[in-house]
This record gives sequence, C-alpha cells and structure tokens, in this order.
Amino acid sequence: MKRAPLLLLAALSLLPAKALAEEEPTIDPYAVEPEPARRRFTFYATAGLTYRPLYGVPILGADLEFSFGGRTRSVDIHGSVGGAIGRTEQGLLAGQLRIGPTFLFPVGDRVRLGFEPRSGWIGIRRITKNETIGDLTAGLNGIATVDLASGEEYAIFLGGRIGADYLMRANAMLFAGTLMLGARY
Amino acid sequence: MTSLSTKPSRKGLRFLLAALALSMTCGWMRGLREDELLCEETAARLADCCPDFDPSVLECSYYSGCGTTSYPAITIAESECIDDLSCSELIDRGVCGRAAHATQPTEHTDGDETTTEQRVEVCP
Repeated sequence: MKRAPLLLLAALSLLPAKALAEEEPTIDPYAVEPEPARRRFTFYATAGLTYRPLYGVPILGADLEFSFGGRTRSVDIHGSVGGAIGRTEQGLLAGQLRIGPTFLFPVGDRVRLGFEPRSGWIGIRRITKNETIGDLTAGLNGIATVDLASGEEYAIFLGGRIGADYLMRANAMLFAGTLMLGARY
Repeated sequence: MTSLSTKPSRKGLRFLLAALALSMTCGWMRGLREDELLCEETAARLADCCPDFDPSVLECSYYSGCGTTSYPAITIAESECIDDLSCSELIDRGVCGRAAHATQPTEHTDGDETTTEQRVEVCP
C-alpha cells in the first residue's frame, strides 16, 4: 500500500507525454507548397516585318528567328538563329543572317523583356553585275514581348525588337526595328 | 584512336579557316561601303527612269591596290543629286546619257604624289 501513491504519481507524470504523442500534427500556415515540376527546355519562333535603314537607304523585309534553350524562374536563355530578307527602296535584294544568345526576363504574367547580342552577315545583291556585296556584323538588340494567348505550356505573343549592328569591314552602323508575332513552347 | 578522332576536326577547322579567308576576299565579306550601295541604288533608279539604260555599263565597285584607287562611277554627291530629280528631269537634263558613259573617279599614287583622273560629272 505504501507504493500506491508513487505508482499514481508516475502514471500522472506520463499522461501528458502520451497525450502529446497522440495529438494530430499541426499545419504551418506559412509553409511554402512545393512548386510543380517545370519543363526545362523552351522553344521560340518569331516571324515579322523589319525595317533597316543603311546609309539612308531604307530596307523593308521579312524577319524569321528560331530559338531553343532553357528556363529558370527569372530568365529564359536561348541560342537563336535568324535572318531577314527584303528589298531596298529601289528594289535591290537584301538579306541578313544572325546568330547569338537571347536573354528574356518575365515581367509580370504576360510581358517579357530582354536583350540579344548578335553576330552575323548582311548582303545586298548588285544590279550592275552578278555579285553580292556584304559585311560581317556584330550588334545588340532589345526585345519586348506581350502574350496574347497562353496555355500551360505554350503562348502566342506579339513582340518588338530594336537594335543596332556594327558593320565590321565598312565601319558603319545598321539600325533595325522589327514587329513580330511569335510562339513559345 | 585519339589521333583518328582529332584528325577530322582539324581538317574541318582548316577547311573553315580557308573558307573564311576566301570569303573575306570576295564581295560577300569585303565590306558594304556607302558609295557602292548608293551607286547600285542609283543604277536601279536610272534603269527605271531612263529609256534603254543598261545598269551593267556602270562600274559601282571600289578598288584599291598597286597605287591605284578607283571609286564607284556614280559618287555619293551624284547619287543624292539624282535622287532629288524626277524621271522626266533626269531625261531632260541629260543625266541619263551622261550616266551611261560615266567613268570611275580614279586616283594614282606614286610616292608622295597623287594624281586624279578627269571625268565628266553625271549630275551637276
């Protein structure tokens, strides 16, 4: 009988621990839910109209570019290859090829801003003989896109690109403005 | 095995360098000069405006070497002058006729002495 109070005391001291062990786990309201897995690769294609004055000679043409690359939370990084083909004011055939990386930063849900270092070649077909005069180019474009329609994995967007290219052999500048429609997957 | 795998890439690199060097010497990468482009544009305009004008008679190339420098047959100033005139004015003022026989501005350098060949201005 002398042991009875001791046993009771021991039982009481264990009770809270047992009760605590049986409690349901608490939910932290501030815990961040893990994001769903994001696709790592993206593909861009754009087509548009481009205007490129060179030495005061306006060149109007069609522009096409393809980009393939990766996406992080803050930036899309692509390798891009593109070109433009058009005519000068007097109808001479003109073309440009370019290659380089594209960096696009999402700003809000629908807008992306970015820049594109580019190197390439520009050429204009002579009328006086069967020959093309051309030059190597290095330049930088600024690009902005606005999504017109988007799904989980794709978007159709409207975009604009302005930039300047340096003609390396002629030491001249070529400015360009492009309005384009594109698709992102 | 290593030598086998590196030989094609070296050959490819040599080919690319040779192609690049060759392309630098041809018109494709020789440089897009203002006077050449404006001369070509003007030749296209004259072909549109002037009856029986053959643009292939014009030499719109720049050449420099061996003490001689030749500029396009239509100078930048002449291109701007022609651009300011209407087609009927080009015919009436005799620009079409002079353009058909335009010669290249040419300089000859011999030591410190430079001589310039006389030519008739196409669009005074």
